[in-house]
Amino acid sequence: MTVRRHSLSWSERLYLPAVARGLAITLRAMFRPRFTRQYPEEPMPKYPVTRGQPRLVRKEDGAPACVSCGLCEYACPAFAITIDGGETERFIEREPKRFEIDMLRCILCGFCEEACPKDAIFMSQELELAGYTREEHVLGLEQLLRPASDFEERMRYVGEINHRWHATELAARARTGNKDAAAAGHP
Amino acid sequence: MAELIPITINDREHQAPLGARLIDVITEITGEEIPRFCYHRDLPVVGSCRMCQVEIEAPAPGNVLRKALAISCRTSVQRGMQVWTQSPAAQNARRGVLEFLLKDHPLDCPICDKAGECPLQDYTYREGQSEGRSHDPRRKRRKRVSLGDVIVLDQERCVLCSRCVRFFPAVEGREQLQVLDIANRSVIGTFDDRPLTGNYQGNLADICPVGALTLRKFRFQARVWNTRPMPSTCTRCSRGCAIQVDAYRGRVVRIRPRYDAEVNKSWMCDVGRFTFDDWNLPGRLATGIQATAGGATDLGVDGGAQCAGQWLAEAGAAALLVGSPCLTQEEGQALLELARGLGTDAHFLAPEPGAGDGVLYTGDPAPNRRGLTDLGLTPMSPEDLRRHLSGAGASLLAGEKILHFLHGLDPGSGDVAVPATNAGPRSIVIDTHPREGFGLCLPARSAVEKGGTVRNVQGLDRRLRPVLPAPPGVPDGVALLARIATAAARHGALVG
Repeated sequence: MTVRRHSLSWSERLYLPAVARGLAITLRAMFRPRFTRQYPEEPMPKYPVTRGQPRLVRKEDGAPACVSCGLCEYACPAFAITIDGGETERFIEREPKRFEIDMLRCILCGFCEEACPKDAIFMSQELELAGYTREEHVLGLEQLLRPASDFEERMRYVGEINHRWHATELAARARTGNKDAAAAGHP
Repeated sequence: MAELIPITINDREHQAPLGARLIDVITEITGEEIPRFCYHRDLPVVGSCRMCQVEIEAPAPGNVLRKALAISCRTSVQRGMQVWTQSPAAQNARRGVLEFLLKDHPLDCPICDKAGECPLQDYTYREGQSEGRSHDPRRKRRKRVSLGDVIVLDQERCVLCSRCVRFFPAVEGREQLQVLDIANRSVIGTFDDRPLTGNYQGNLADICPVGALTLRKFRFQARVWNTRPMPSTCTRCSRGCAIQVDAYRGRVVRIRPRYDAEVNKSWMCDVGRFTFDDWNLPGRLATGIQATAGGATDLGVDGGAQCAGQWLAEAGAAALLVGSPCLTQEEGQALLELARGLGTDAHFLAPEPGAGDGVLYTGDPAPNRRGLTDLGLTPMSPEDLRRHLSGAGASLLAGEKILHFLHGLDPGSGDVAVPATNAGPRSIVIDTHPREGFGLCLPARSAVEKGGTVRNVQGLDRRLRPVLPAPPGVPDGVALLARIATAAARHGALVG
């Protein structure tokens, strides 16, 4: 195939009008409102829907809300979570002796938050993840625990979603009489 | 064999033995598991939980047919009987039973060890309702009652099925647990809070249909949906109970009995159930190590087998071949072939059997004594072995645990500290860990890493299966003995 070349006219070969047009665009942009962000200095706005890194809830008495039931470990599609359970003297007999999230494996999907029956793990608003070694990205219990107050908005948001889902499921069940109707038909 | 009569289950004709228990017949014929809490096939029937209700139509007195709900565990197959397991009446009755059980059941599935294999959880998911209708507060009970060294009782979770109460008289022939107090205050307990005793307490955790009775040793160790169960055979005594070994992260974490009608039914003893720490020990031997003047030389598995074959061939009929009583039939045969080629006898170490408990545990720590004897290996007592060991031209002690038996240690102990053996320069040991005092150490697989056959005290052949992967490079016992035999043949022995 032959590519036919467009022969440039005299004014085009001069290039100056094109340069001037380009400078005009630049000049106009200088007076328009900015939509880029100076990221590290200007952090991103955070909303309840923000799905940052998973973090654990510390109860008011200082103990983790987690009872190491292992559901998040099981739900995790990236095998990022490792839990060892153990016995405690507290009223709730079981607590995690080891709770590790490998943030290099974590894909921030939020399945752990959804699986948790104890409201003990939430997707926080912490987004930054950088380090020099692989080891420092395996976060242990002490690095993961945050006071419950950090999660108030997210807790409410997740609660609303669950409530809506539950209502949909009950309605589907009433409509079809099938227990698993919602599980099969719901997105 | 009872007479087979026609019976209609869910509108389909089947043949069933007259007088058989309906719950077993339905499960066997249709494969449908009727929910049950109090019924257990190896325990007396009490029919107290009412969970196994089905709708039946059977001839009543006066020769009329009557339709009614009946508990399938206490109903026997009769002539002209029709059964519906999923009719609205039956489903409704079972849902009602579940709702009452759940009214006071604590919602602590996330911390309960039974979750994942809990009949109450399964049935609720299958046929119960997810919404509670009761506004009364849940009953409070003691959560952590110690019933001795083996079992922890959670009275809140208990559904009072009384399986555990019936277990002790039925299996051990004495009573230990009772339903204490009456009506809504009923709890399971022992008289005066005495701890449970005996060799069969572990079974309580298996038969408990909820998480009320849990094993102290397994408590919070692993979630049951993460463990990988494998069927195998217990090697802690010569009974050879059918077991299920649960492995988690490459370690054995729990052992449960598996149903075997001829050997152990649904039970197993605590000796077999709780002695598995030795299978999780680190520091495994995975190569052939020859003791030399300056220390030790790593020959590799093949090099070790070559060396062993040479030593044995040079000793010829003066070689002493002794197998562990834990050898499988296959390994025993391989040892026998090797001995024949050398022109000598194959022995196996036969420790003195202890006293059994009259139920399952035989007290004989040699799991395959009967099988090895039947094969033609000569039993040898630890004293005799100790006497002959240092004088033999060359000796081969084959199989895991053989030194435990030789030194009179508990073979189930997790202790690696086996004392040095005075065995002579041309002595070979095949064991799971490096041993001192031998000219050559070769690696062995443990009882949960090898496959094979063991013959139990009744003369029944049962299979061992590899549950855990063997350490890399460790060959099967038969393969290793075959390599030694090949090497021996190369040095003039008449093996093969």
